[in-house]
Amino acid sequence: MVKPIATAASGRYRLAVFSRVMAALVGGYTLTALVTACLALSLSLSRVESALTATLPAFLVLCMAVIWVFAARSAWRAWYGLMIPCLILGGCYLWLSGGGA
Amino acid sequence: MKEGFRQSMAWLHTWSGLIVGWLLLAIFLTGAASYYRSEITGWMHPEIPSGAPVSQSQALKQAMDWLHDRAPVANSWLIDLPTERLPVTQVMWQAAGERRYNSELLNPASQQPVAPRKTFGGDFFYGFHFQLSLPPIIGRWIVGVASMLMFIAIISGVITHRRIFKDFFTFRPGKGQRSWLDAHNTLSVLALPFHVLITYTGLVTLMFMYVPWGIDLVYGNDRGAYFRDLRDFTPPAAPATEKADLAPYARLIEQARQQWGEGHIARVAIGSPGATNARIELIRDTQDQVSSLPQRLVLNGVSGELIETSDATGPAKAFYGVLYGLHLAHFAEPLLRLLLFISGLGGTIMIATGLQLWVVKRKGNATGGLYRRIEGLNVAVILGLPLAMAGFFWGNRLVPGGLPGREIVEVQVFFAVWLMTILHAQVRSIRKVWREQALLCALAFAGVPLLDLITGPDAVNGLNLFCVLFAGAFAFVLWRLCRSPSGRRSTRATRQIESRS
Repeated sequence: MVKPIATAASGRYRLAVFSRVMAALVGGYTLTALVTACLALSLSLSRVESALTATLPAFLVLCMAVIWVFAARSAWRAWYGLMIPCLILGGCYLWLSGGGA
Repeated sequence: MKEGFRQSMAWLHTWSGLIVGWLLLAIFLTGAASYYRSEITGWMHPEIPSGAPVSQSQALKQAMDWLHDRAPVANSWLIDLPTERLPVTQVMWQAAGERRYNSELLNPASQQPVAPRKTFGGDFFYGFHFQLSLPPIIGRWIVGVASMLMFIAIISGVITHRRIFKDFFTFRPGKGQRSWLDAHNTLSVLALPFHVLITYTGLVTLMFMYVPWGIDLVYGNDRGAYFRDLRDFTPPAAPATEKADLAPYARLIEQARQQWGEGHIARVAIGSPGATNARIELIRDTQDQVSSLPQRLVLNGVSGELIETSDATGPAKAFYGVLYGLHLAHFAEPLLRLLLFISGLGGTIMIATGLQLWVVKRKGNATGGLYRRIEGLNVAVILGLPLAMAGFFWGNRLVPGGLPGREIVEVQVFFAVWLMTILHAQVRSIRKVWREQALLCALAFAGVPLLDLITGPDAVNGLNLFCVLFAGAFAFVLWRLCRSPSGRRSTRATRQIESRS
């Protein structure tokens, strides 16, 4: 299905597209998971309220991440733009889950 | 992708839409049909009388008496009371020491079990809508991924659509590719709030499967605790050995009337009927609220005293209930239900025009085998799926009532018809494929009320009316396809594109 575009484009372009698709898939989903996890751990609501509040915005986060990935000027920028918040949130997650234990 | 924000969004829109377009079309169309799930189930059980509405207390009395005779010793009884949309009482019971529930339909007018033909009814389209008749985990994940791509396609489509309000009033028919684009834009923008909402709320219905960390980190492995919190539900205890008479039905009706007013019980769940620790749960209907989370009353099963009511709901829970309820639309009155159904069909046609747009755009420069496969698949989904759905209704009337496993045969008819259209679309010339499948759709839908008239007691019902309308719509499509000199609109567009290039 990629044919019509791919024939008109170089291998380099294809690689960049593949890189972005992976960034959207892996990076976007990881970011979504981390946002959800940090919200779930940091909200001081009743259990059911925390779980729901943390999960309801997940698909918005993922959608924004994907739009970012395909709007970024280069594939590298797309990756950086996801990795930095992922690292910060990953740190938060470790701190939150460590503090809770 | 280097050309700027709007162009990169156009790219994203095209590809996220195309890859799952066929799947989304099937999800939208079966979802639209599921707005009439009860009505379809009713139609597919012609044995259920469409008689005068029966009072809840009469139906409850009859169901409790029937269960008392049939299953005096049981873990639990479930009674779904008749509604205007499906005037039949469904009783289910779980015998002691069994996991499985037995089920029977009772005619609320004659107080006798109706012996309906075995069929999945509207539940088939409903299940296909989020599971595609696949194993649950696989099917739901595929639908989830497709829905997420749909959501991305909608948002990126809005971003890439520069003149959203101007195009709203623009339709240029007979102009090939431009017409397909106009149709796609008009349908998209017309029901944009519906598309956004139905896609997001659809994802919300299965969100803890797709994004499980919120619930896992808060509840650990105890998902049962989550469901208890969500539904304000205390699980019933094991049945006691001492026997006691169940509270009379009139007591239940009275408790519900005091809390909710007349006639609002949707389901009665009775734990340990006949034991001293029997417990009765009354679940309210959700017809007059958007939220899908129903109110509940828990009564002592012997004395009939009120033990628990639903707690006040937190904001997140209330919001979740509203999102979930918006997707299920149990609240929808007939007119609103019709509008939602039309929006669902509009979404289906929006996806169809989007798929056609992709084909029409590339007709000039890509004529390879893959292109022809895609072109054929488009027809097999746009016309083949409705034909298969009509085939499902035909199957319901033609497969003998007593045939063992007949409900499976109905589903096999559905998939066999669909498979035939897929093959047909690949082997015939594409012009003939469009015409022949449109003709078959018109005939198949026109035949549904006729079959009902021949085989059933009463052919005047909503589903038959819709089938007549669909038959007319497909006949109109056929007429347009034949009138167009070159077979259909897209080929005319091709010549325009070719002559330009």
